[in-house]
Amino acid sequence: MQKQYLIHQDFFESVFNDVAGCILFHKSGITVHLEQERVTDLGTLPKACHEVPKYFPIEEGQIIVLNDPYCGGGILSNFTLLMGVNLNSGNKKKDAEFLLGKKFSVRPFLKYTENLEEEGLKIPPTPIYEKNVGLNTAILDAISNHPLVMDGFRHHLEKNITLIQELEEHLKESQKLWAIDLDQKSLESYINQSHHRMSEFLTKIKPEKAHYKEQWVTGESLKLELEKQEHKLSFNFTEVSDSKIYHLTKAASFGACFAAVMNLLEQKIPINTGSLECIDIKVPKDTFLDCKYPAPVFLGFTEASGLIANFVSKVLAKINKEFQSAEGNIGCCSVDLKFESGPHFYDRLPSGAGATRTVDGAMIVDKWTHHELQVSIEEVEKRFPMKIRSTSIRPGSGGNGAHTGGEGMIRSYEIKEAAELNWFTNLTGHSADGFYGGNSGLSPQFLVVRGNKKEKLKAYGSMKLEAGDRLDVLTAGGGGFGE
Amino acid sequence: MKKTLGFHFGFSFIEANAQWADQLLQKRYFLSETSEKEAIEDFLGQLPINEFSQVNITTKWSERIIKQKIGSNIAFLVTEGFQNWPKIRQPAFNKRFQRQPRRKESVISDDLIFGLSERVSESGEVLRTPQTNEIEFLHSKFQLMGIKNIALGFLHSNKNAENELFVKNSFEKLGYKVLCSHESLDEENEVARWWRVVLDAYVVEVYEELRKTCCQAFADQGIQARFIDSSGNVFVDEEKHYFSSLFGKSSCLSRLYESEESVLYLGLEDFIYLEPGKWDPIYKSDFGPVGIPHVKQTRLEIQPTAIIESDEWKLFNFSKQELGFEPGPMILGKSLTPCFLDLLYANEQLDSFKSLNNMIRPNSKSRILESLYTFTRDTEYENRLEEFISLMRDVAYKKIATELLKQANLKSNILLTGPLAPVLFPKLKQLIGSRVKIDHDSEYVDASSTGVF
Repeated sequence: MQKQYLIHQDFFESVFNDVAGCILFHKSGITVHLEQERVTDLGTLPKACHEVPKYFPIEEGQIIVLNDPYCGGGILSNFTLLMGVNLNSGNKKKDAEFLLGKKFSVRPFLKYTENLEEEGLKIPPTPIYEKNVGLNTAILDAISNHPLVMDGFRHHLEKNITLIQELEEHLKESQKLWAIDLDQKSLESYINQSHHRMSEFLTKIKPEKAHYKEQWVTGESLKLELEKQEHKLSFNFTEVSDSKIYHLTKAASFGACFAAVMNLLEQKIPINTGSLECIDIKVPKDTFLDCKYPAPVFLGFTEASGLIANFVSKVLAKINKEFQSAEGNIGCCSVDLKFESGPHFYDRLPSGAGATRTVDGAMIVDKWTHHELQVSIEEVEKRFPMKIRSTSIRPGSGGNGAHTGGEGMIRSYEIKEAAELNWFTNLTGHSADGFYGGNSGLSPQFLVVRGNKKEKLKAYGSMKLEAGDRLDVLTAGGGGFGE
Repeated sequence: MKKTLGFHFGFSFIEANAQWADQLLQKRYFLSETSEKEAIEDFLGQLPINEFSQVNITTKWSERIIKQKIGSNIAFLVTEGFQNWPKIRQPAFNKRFQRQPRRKESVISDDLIFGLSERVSESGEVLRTPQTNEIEFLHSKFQLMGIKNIALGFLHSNKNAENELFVKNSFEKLGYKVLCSHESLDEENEVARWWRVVLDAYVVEVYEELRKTCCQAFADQGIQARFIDSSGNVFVDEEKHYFSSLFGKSSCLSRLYESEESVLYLGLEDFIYLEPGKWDPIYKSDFGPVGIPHVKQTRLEIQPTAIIESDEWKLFNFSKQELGFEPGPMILGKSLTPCFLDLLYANEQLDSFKSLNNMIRPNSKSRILESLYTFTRDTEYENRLEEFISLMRDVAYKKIATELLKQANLKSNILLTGPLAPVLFPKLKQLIGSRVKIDHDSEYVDASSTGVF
């Protein structure tokens, strides 16, 4: 049993090693392997694979595109491609036995709306590529010409169709090489072993109940009752408020809870149905953790998902001392500038991580997302009518303590042409809490300097900037640990 | 026949190759037993020395200086306001939402990065000129800190180098060695350009010492030493090529196998997949992007001295951590930790590998087996050690083959080369098929490939 488990684990790891945001899903409802990019992917990718076949059967080689958050998508600038794949020669049915999923992103628009339809173009599951026909150009043209479509959609879509096809070929070739069975029975056995491993890890969490409550100034409030059952951790969100600003789907809320548990793992456990099923969440319907169409999702998916992961981490730390850490990664800052002459700039600046019992918090890092900062100062200045005056660590922003919280950053922009600014940061009204006597980190700030006047902006909003204005963005620091 | 003399100075080994008339002499020296100077003298002592006038050399000196952090104490001057930018751009390791994401420690301390009030716009216009009094202030600081080397990295210096040149001249007059980011390369990404100039400045002194010692040993025998850099340039003592010799070996292999699409180099110190003729302008280092044009390549996940570890579920894994050769694999008798090479030895695959035979310590096999036995305790493989070793080996080969398939074009041949190529060839061929070829004369390819220049 161990041998088969090891081979399956190593096989999937070798094939999907460097592909962030992907899934292999068996039509019986098994998530065979998942690699996440953001916390929400842990819930949304399996959700997409469950939902799409309800619309239509997916044939081998066919590719579906979607971004509808209520069908397993994320924010509207994140797209999911799902491809029908057959990995067993015995499958004679028309619809594919597996779905191979891959995400890709384009630059988002930051908009404050009451309605998802105003946030951007929502694409329900749509066949975009057929095996014997190729790209569905009529649909692609219709999407590409839509006034709300994101910049660069067509280019990224075409590129990612090639990438998912290459991934499928690689998967098939590797399957031959490993001589591995991917029939339902073998997969179930692998999933059971993963479940066993995850359950064994959960035995480290003391079999206690815990509950915790938070109220945010945005109006949202939530109470979590955590219960350790035999093979499961049950997250029962009771007393969850309606949506005020943040809206999450249940799949995204699940992703945040699972990420908080994963964050505690020292050993790698594959992410598949076996491990995912060890976490169970209960969320009252029509609350901000399980909102319904047409609630807009941008703020919820980008900001609140990390806040929920932090919140769950705090509850877990209440139970087990070894998991204790100060709060961090709240107060990342997003800036969206639409210049009069057309260019659209978007930047998300990370905050500091919380310190733990043994180490200081890392500075300027987005703990709940995997991405490397790719932006180049020179590139930004070349492409957009603005100058970056400085980019530095925000000194003293990490909370003091025996171990200091990670520092946030400061970036100062000088605008050279009139632009519409949209911005947001942590709206909950609290900074990253220190722990065990450690101080909280500093809160984020946005400042606009016009001539001699300096204006401190609220946590989110929209305003016009003039040529010559300066925008200073200060991201939050993480909490300190210990006195 | 062409007379060629080639050396490769690796991390732990030196390879030497000489060919003259119909004679061929190839040797490998282990650096913990023989110094670089001794190796050169020993090898040259076995040659008709008058037949040779020059030697081509590739080295891992830059890599060694950076990894062991033995470079110079340098100051790095950047545009004011961007002193932290190189550190902020360093990648953080956080694949599975770790509780504490980390960045690797850089070669240059934050305290040695200084801002200078200067600015050039994206169009190349000088918006602010550096001030002499600021340079004088920094000079007094550097004197106290004992700094003699300075790297300059100003924004948009590739568009207009006026400010960099002004500061360079000012500090040079004060007796400093100054390197400018615009001189290294015309890279568009400032971080890649900045790391490049920092690393250029960081390695230059120690590299020069190593180079001088090595050149002297050759010069004593009337031979001129020439080095090869990442772009395939041959240099003697031009400092701007020192750091860029980082991928010198790859540029030789790429030239040697220029007609191949895919090459898998299986050396004693590393396993590298190369695409001859394809170039990559940026090296993705632990510090972030470094502008150094080099042959497109990927370091495989499994390396020769990758540590074999077991997790709390008793599942083995090939770690990203490498033992290197000091203390080295268990076969050398010092280490207590098994690695991939030990696994090959336990599996009797290294038996025919002559180069290592004189280094392998007696009883090492029983020690390796004992150590691997602990992996089987309380598992289904208890008392079935041989079967377990065979499973480990199979998994390792399949991982290597999967990575190769991901990198290589679906239809292209994959040529295996390097000292361990004959060891891994049969199984990789069995797994991937006839696309896998081997260069049978590649046991000393590190040194012999330098002959292409």
